[in-house]
Amino acid sequence: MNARKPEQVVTPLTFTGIRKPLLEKLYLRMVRAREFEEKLYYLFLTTPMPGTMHQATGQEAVAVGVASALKKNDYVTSTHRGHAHCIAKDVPLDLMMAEMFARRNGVCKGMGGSMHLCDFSRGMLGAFGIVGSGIPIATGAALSSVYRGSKQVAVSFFGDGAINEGVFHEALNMASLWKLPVVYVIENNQYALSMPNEKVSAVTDLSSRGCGYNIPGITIDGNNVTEVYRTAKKAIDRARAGEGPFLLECITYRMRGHARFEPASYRDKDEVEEWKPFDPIKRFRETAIENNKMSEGELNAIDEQVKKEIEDAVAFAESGEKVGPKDYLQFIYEPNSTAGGAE
Amino acid sequence: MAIKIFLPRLGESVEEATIGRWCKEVGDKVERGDVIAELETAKAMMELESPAKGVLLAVFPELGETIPMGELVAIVGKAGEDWESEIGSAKEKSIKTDLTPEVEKTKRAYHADYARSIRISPNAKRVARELGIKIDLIQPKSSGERITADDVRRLANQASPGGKSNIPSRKVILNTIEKITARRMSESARTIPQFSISMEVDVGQIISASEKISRDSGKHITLSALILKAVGTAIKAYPKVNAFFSGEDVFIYQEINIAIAVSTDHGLYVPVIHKANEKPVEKISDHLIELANKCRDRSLLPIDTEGATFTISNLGMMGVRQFVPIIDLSQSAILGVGAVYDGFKVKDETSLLPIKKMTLTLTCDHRVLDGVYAAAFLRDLKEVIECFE
Amino acid sequence: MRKLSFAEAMREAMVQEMEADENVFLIGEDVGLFNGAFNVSNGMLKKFGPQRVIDTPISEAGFMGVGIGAALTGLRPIIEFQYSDFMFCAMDQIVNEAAKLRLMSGGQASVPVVLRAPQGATGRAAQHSQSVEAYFMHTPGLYVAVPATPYDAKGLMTAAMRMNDPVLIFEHKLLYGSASPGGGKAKSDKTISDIGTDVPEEQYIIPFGKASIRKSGEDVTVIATLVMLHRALAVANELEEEGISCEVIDPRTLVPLDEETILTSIKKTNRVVVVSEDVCRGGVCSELTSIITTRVFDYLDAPVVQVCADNTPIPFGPASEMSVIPQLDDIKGAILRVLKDN
Repeated sequence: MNARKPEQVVTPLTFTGIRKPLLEKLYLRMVRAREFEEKLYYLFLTTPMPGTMHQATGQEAVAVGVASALKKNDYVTSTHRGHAHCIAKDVPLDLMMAEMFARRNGVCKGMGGSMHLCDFSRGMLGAFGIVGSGIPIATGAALSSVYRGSKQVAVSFFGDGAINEGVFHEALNMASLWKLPVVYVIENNQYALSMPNEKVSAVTDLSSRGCGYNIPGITIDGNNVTEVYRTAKKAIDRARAGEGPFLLECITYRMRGHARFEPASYRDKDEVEEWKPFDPIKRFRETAIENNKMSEGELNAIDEQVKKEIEDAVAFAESGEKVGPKDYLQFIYEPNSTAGGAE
Repeated sequence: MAIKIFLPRLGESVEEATIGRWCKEVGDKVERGDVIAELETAKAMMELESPAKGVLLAVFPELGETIPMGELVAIVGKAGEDWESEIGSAKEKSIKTDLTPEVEKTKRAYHADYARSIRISPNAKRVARELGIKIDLIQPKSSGERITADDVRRLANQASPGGKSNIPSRKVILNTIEKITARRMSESARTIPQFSISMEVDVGQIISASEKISRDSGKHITLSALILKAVGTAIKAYPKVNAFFSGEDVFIYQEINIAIAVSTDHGLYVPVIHKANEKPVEKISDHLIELANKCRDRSLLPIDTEGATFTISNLGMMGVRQFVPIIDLSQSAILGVGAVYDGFKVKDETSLLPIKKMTLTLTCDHRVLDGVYAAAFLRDLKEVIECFE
Repeated sequence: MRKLSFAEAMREAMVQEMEADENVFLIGEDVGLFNGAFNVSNGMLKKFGPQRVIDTPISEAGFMGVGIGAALTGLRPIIEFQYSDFMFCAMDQIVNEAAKLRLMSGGQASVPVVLRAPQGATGRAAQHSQSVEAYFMHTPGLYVAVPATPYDAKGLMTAAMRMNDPVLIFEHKLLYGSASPGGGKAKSDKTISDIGTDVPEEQYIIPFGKASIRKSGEDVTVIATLVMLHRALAVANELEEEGISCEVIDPRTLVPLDEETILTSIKKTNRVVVVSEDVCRGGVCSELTSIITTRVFDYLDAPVVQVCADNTPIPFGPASEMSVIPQLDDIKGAILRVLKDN
């Protein structure tokens, strides 16, 4: 077994300090993220989908817990596994789906695809295909917030693989040096493609790396959406108050392979089965019902709502025009700039 | 509504997969996510899951079969559903084409028209083209050097390519037809290795035939028309006489279009009788007369002068018995027809018979045919003429 | 009009724009307290304060990414790399992020960053002597400028700071014309002319994509950038005495390139020499030759002659370095060769 045992990671899911509307929001966003991923997963079998996808199935609580503690104009950077982060930031499902279908009505006009989804109107500065490249960019957004006095916070989502990129260290050092309002979230799904944590990191307690830069850090149960929310909120509020960056490690589990047709043959099937019961959505549902926080009916209603949203999103995507052969020309440079005779 | 499962693109360079194992059978109930089959690819073993809850209605590839990306693998739907009519034609069987976008392919044209034996700068070629000067007439400043634009302009400024002479002369400006003739004749003489062979022909029979046909048709059918018809007939068995040389190959024309040289006081024309072998003599004669008139009053249309594959030149009306014509560019042979004159043929040891004779001269492109071939053609032509009906 | 050195002109461009636009700021190593390794940002920390003139740790990839993040969220950073050689440490951020974000986001993102870096061989061996513009000419989504005079420095820089896409400005160390506080006077090249040293006091822009004909001529077109432009002019002036008339063109920007001016000149002269300090293989000269041969093939009386650095890392020993980097004699030889090439 390469990953941690769930029992070592999991903490009780409680509802302290979280009122019903927020609970509903948390559940809604997680179900949206799950259904979006699952819908796409099977679309790849029945429809000619361009490109591929890196499904975040099983990791929804991290994205949703953190993003739900942000304001609409707070910034987020993400990774190649970015669908859940976008959905958690309320990027419209239909625009995202259309982008997956490479249609002109996609959120990036069909020019970016899955790995480069972004929505600047919601502070979602982008998923990035180069591992770790979003980390300094989120740091720059935080610098910009201080420069402009706007009190915005930036969150950088990245994984247990990205933490070994040089830019992680460069960015954290500068964020600490300049006390920037940025929260670094390590979404540790315990595998960097085929590599479990201990095969690639000399120190596997990843949040402790903050010490090297005088940045406080903590490691929590990433499949516990209320725990993620509460911890993230503390870190975000602290950053917004000018107290500097934070390193939040959320332990979760990547339920499917690295990419759509990557079968994860390096993993034991048993390990996956062991983590299945600790699925964040399942845990939330069961615990919420058990504690009378939400009824089965309410939860099912949300499930139905999301099913419809996803169907609508697919219809929207399928109705969009396919990207044409010359669409890209207007996006290389800003049209009509001082550049004069730009190609 | 039946759901079709296609073999997806399993990896950036994975174009096909083999069915390693069927995990479900037709008729089995399946949930979304249940594994239907195990697929083997060059990289790894993958599972093919059902995208929906239902019954496995059909599978298409055999166990162990390798199928390409985009091929239809299975159908999942409601039990008893008529999926066949939904599936429709074979067009639906593959979705591969959907992923290949239609992009206009820009074709790039490569120009390769430069004379390899001549070193000339691109700029000089352009100037030569603009001034209408043929590259092989130009000499560089010193031998072995590249011809430059200056060399071209130097040539253009001279009064004549061959250099001046001291004897007074008057310039005669040629009209377009004359200019073209001069150019084409020069090029023919320069580029085609030509040889000629001659043969005498007894024209008594063909003259009688022309008189008979004239009587029967009520029109004056010229000897030229009959000779043209005879040539058209004889050419059929000798395709190399109806051809041209280009690059390093011989191209045989698939039609027999015979041109007749017509001289006027405003130039030499070569109108064409198309498909001369198929037309009856009367038609040929009419056409010849029509063309000759058109030459004289300059009303020839492009259709009248295009497409010639063989040429006949006739100086008989001038009293010339025999002459060596020059091949028209784009052909491999030309027939020169002389005047009809009196002669004799040997009947037996003691007597001669008077006959009417004519000398035919065939000039040929030695790259296309040789003397033996040319002689054989003339011999056959002679027979056609001497036995003309 | 007063005369400014290249460094002074570049400084004035930055200062005036930072006064006019509060979103512009300067970030890089030693740009504040040290006044810049080549003295270009002299006095700017004092004038604008540490929020707008930021000294960074040695983290090229990191501060390039920070600059991008700032640019995506409303600011307009000037990012200085101490030596253009160090840009390679930030290559992923420059090439994979800055250059591509506009397109990948379908036009949502705009990355108005200006990257400035000194380059050129000055006896500091292979890792502090490169000319790197070709790597970035090759990357779509970037603009590339190579100002050779103080006037151009201020005009192109001002334009760059107002453009909403990443712009790379390559400055030549030998052209700064001002002492480096890091130790002693900068080397000076006796052939560096004083063209373009008259610099207007007010702000002005030179639009990208407009080459400058530095000297008119009839016999041969010479295209040269940065220090090579000055060397080409020196050679052209010398050859003029011998009756050879060179038309010397300074492209000023490599992306976009002013093809029309170059091609019009070649249609007139029919012979061309291209000169650049970067390595020949896959370099600026290659790109120019490719464009020229494709577009005005029929106007050439001789093949294009290229004068560029040998395909080698730049050696330390002075004699070797001189042999690798194009010198006056190399340019003169090339011009004579193209004229005699028959």
